[in-house]
Amino acid sequence: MKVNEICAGITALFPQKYQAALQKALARHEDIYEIRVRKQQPLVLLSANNTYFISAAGELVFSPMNAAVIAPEEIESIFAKLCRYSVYSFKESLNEGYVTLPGGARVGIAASAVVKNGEISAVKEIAALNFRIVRAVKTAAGEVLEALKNAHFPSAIIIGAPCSGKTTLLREACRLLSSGYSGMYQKCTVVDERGELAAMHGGIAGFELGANTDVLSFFPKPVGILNAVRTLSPDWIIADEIGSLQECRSVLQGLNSGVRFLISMHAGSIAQAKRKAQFRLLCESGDFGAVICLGSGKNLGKVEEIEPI
Amino acid sequence: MKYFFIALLCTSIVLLSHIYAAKYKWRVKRLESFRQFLVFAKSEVTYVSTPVLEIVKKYDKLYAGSLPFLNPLKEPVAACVKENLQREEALDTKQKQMICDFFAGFGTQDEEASVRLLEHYRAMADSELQTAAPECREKRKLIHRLSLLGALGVAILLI
Repeated sequence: MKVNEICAGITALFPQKYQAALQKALARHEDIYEIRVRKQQPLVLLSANNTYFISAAGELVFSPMNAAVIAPEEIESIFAKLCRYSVYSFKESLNEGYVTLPGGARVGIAASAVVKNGEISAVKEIAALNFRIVRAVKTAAGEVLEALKNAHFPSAIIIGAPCSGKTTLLREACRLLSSGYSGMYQKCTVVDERGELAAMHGGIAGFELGANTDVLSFFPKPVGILNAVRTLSPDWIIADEIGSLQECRSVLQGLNSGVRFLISMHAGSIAQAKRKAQFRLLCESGDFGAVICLGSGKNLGKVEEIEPI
Repeated sequence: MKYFFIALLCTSIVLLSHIYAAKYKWRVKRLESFRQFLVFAKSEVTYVSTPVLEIVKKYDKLYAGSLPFLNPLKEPVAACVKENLQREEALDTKQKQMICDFFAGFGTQDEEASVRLLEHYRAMADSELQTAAPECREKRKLIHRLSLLGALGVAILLI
């Protein structure tokens, strides 16, 4: 799905009075990467260099002073459309705080949790929605793979702060590996727990992932990784946001089965990552060759540092 | 010639009454199809968590034409069904309201509540069928008999 189709899909979720302003803003400012909707607060559009608001007249402004405020029924209407008027269909992802739109755009949800027996059973009283605009960048992964080439393409960990371009880089790296970058068409399996990496719809990926790629969509990462190793004979497994120890252990199991991994983790810097037990556990396996740190803000999506492990 | 036109007139009366009586036959069929849809939707919700519009499209593909008010549809399904039901002639006001109320609530809650909603409306559909089936049968018989009597009366008067 192209970026303008994804943007059109997001814009269509909003009440009529905001649609024209949003369409204009997204077309004019291609660096807008988030739209934030909060109950009784102005609509906020975030780009790398600016924060915009939408005025009552439908113009893009830099101050929230005269900005239009989202009414409670408007956010509820957006939420209902987001869930395709079928809340039960999205129960699992709602409990984890997100919904993935067709095209791979992830919508983060801030709400009140209903907790039963220590687990989140439902969410209620939607307070805010965070629409992340997916923009595919073709050149992000070339530098990383070039750096890994000398070490014969070992497994690697991509780290970065939220919105630093980790998912974009993983997607592009998968495409390059699967398309013969390393001299062979590598068999890649994408374990796409949140539906963002591949944006599968009807069994077809919304993004280019290469000719030799399989996708496990909405599988929890530990299950998806083990299923992939057992049934899909991958050369590479690509997974986003490895966080829990359970996920790390499943990665280690995969590594011990001879599969290479390209994974991402949340951390602001390599020094910060080294303080995480999960990162140290993966590094101690001896199978990861490099850690790549991505920048954020003005250096969004750029490689800041590559360190061998 | 005169007898030909009398025969034609009587046949027209009987045919028109037959068309009118068909409404009652279709009423029962619509209710049976609606009940079938509820059963189908329950398994779609329970096992595959299919969104409402997809459930309706799947059902319509399997049983094309059995519930005309499910076609055409787009999201929000509830609003579309309400609009399509205005053109539905076979069902009475109470039955249309029942279907509108169902679609207004379907999809607004989690899986457990959605399944309970489906079961509740299935029970309502069963109850409607129990009343409507014999009622419709009687009405069709009455209309046919009246039409035959009417045709006979017209024939006698004209002859």
